[in-house]
Amino acid sequence: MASRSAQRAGDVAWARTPKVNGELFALTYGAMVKRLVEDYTEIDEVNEQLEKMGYNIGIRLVDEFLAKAGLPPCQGFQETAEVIAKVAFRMFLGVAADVTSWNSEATAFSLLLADNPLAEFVELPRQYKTLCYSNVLCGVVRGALEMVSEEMRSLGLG
Amino acid sequence: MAGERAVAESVFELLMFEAFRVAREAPGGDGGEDGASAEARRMEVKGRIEAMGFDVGYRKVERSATEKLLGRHPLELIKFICKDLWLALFQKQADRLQTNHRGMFVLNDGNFTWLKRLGHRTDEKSVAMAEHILDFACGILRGALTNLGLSTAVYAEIKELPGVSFTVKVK
Repeated sequence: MASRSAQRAGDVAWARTPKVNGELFALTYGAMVKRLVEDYTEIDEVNEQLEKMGYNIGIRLVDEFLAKAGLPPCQGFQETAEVIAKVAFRMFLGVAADVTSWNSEATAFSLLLADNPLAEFVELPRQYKTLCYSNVLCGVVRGALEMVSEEMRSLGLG
Repeated sequence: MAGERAVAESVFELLMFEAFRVAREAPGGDGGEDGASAEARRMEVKGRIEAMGFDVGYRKVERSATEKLLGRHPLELIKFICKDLWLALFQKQADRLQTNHRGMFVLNDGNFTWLKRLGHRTDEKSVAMAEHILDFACGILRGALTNLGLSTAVYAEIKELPGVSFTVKVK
């Protein structure tokens, strides 16, 4: 699936999605991160909790994605990357991400989110510079992909 | 109320549920076996969720009409809550406002958006979830009112799902 048609699929899915106020979303996330930082003395622990949280969200969110995005299965990892960036991010966060920095084996890529709804109005004090504030997103992607690859395994698609 | 950016409702709900889980599983405090500790733990979780809501509510009104609302009569502030804040949070306005004109207000919402997903389930897990949702909402209202200059106590009561009534007592 070419990037442009992925983009179109993302726009269509986003238009159909019931939405809530973005500020409410960002503030809720912020209030929760603040609690985690207070509860755990090590920032690494907080990063881990955020990722775990994202994982829990991702494994549930992927069902909605599969049901509403209306896409055929991805043919290869490159297509998966485009779909995550242009369709999934767009339909859930309202903003599409960019796929960049592929490694030479084409087994790893980066997702660049130029406009991050989680970080609206957020300023990280210096002592939290090792905090991966948006680590929840990594967990979401991991959880979602894990569910999909599990499904594929059970269908014998490898 | 400003804030043109939006996100998917499902993502927000899942995030909110995860925030509740974080509150339930927070380290510290003894998870004792006996009833007294369990109750204390429950109250602790309730407090944490309410506090998170407070942060959200306090900041939510920060960028909106705070300037023109500060110093206004409590009834005007509550009306702002029922209309503008409700719209921003729940995509609808509150249905009915009652007051005894002596510092007590009751805000009624016959179809509380955040309880929709729970339907009419009465199992233990759903009841606990409903409680978390309402504690969070009460915190938001209390935080918003605090930033508007009003110190209050807020509590909620389910009136035949999905209807809720929020009682605000001005301190």
